[in-house]
Amino acid sequence: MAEPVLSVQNLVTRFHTADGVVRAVDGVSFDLMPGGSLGIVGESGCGKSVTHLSFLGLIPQPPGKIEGGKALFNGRDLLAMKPGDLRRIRGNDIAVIFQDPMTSLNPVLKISLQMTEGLMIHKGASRAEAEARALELLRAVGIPSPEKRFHDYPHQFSGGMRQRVMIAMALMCEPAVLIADEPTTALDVTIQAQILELIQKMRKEMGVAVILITHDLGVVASVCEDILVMYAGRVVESAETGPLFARPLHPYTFSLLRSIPRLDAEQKERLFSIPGLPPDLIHNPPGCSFNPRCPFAVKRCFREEPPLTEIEPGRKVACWVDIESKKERAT
Amino acid sequence: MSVSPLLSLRDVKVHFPIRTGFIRRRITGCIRAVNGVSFDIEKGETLGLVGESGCGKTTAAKAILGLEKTAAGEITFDGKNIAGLRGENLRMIYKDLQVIYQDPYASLNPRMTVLQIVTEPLACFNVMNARERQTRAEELLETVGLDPRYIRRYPHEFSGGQRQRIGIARALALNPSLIICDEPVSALDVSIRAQIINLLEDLQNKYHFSYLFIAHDLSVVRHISNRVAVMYLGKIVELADSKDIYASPAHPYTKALLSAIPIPDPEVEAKRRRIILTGDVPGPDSEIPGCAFASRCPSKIDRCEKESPALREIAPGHYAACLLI
Repeated sequence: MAEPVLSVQNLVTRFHTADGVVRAVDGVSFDLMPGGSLGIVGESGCGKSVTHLSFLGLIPQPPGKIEGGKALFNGRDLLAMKPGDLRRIRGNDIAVIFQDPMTSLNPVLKISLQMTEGLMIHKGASRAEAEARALELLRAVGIPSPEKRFHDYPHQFSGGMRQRVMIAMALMCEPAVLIADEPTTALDVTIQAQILELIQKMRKEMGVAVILITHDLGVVASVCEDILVMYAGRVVESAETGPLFARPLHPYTFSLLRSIPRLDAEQKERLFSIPGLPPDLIHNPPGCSFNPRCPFAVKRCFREEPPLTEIEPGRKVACWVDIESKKERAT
Repeated sequence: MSVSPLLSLRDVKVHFPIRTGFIRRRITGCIRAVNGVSFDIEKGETLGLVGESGCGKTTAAKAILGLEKTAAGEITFDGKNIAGLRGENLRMIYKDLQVIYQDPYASLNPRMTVLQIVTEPLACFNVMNARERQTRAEELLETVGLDPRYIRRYPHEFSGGQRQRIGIARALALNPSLIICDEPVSALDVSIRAQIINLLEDLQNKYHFSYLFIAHDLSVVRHISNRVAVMYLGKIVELADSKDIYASPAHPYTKALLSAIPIPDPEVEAKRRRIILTGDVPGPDSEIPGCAFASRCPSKIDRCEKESPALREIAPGHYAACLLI
């Protein structure tokens, strides 16, 4: 089997604030295969963004602190690297598309300058070479007449067009990994469909591995091969997309899937709702973080934190209870 | 129909002038945010209003609430024309017409306690004395699923979902007959949305008021509404029963919108054919002689660019505005 291009192992990131220690990422592990697509799903504050910001060295330290784990990119640990070495990888081998294309583009620089900068710094390309590549990519992401738009400023583009520019910019250095952090949350649904299709197309044509971070289970269902579900800084379930949706094994995944109104639902029925509030990462309850909201919780859930265990080939879940039989799993 | 509708809009228009020039300000054009919208809301029903950002759905709501001046058209609420009302006359309609906003952080005054927020509508209309108001506030908090002991707390002490509940309690205080919900769940976490949607449904079953439910998420709108109106660039392009709009969408825009919404089920997703729209949305200030959707429509013919289609009934209770139907 091929080696993963990115392997995150037991990553722990905490923020030391005046109110206490925030356990933002608490032992997250995953492997990303070359050309693969991984979806990370979770609600706001579950640590899905902090995970990638941590291994890319983009966490403000202090208050943040990476307190453990490894992030191996082609065998080299990103967390142990000097800032200069990490900078050579960031934007070059691993590129990121952020949620809001307006705040991630510099409003006072022309698109042409912002797009070519990376290639000239990382690969030592000449301006002419970089501009040719940028135009080629702008055409590939579907910007009509890119020559005319090339010297425009970000505010002259619409939201969807800006996100296309971001994608083109991220692909400039032919990265091995593309991290898309809520790339469509700020966009309308018809534009979202276009952008998701574009990311798929780029993955197939350029062989770039994609990590798609989102709160929308519908988005990952249509785009990703593998899925990681996060809750309160931990991975609670990981599986291939098909089996995860067909038969969720963690109570959180199970409840979340049932609580979303579906466009193709047969008839109007009452939604299943998850009681309680999203977790407070400073005052986590003892045991499993989901225990105050869990319909299946048993005594053990309030005492011990369940580890992420492989219970079937390719399926990992962090839960003491088998939700199908509603009984505690034998360990 | 024998019973007149609770709220009725007829060809309502809201235009915003575009001013240019620094010393000599002049009006050089106008944005037609709402450009001839008509619909009815019956007593006890929920009408969903969907559309993408900038289509004018919030402006339409503001026009109903008298917060935006209408350029033309009639708005009838409870048998009275309320378009263009001002001052005291406008204030009086809020006894029966209330609103829940999108952002539960911005819509509650941070310097007021929950008691003050929830009883403010009562105070505005001089209903009840102070003690009765407090009892009413406690009752309302209980109705929306909050602990009545929280009555002396301030909004910042609550989470987003709880704040939205406070906003709902405030809207209920005067027993209104129509509540306008402007994107009430889009700012909330996924696991909290179902709680609020269920609460809104329970309240309607209990008190029998009507909702105008505005959202961009068609799956939420379809779930909660009896009928759904789809807006595009200031106009309603399709209006139908929420079952029909999903089962047999008629307008090309509705079809594209429905096909663009991801369904959380990879098996279903694999079988679906997605209509990917190309082309650009015309600027809001441009005057479009024909159909507003023509620039992106996959089944456009020449006539679409010249003639503006009217909203007409294509099946009982199913309206669409398209020349090709």
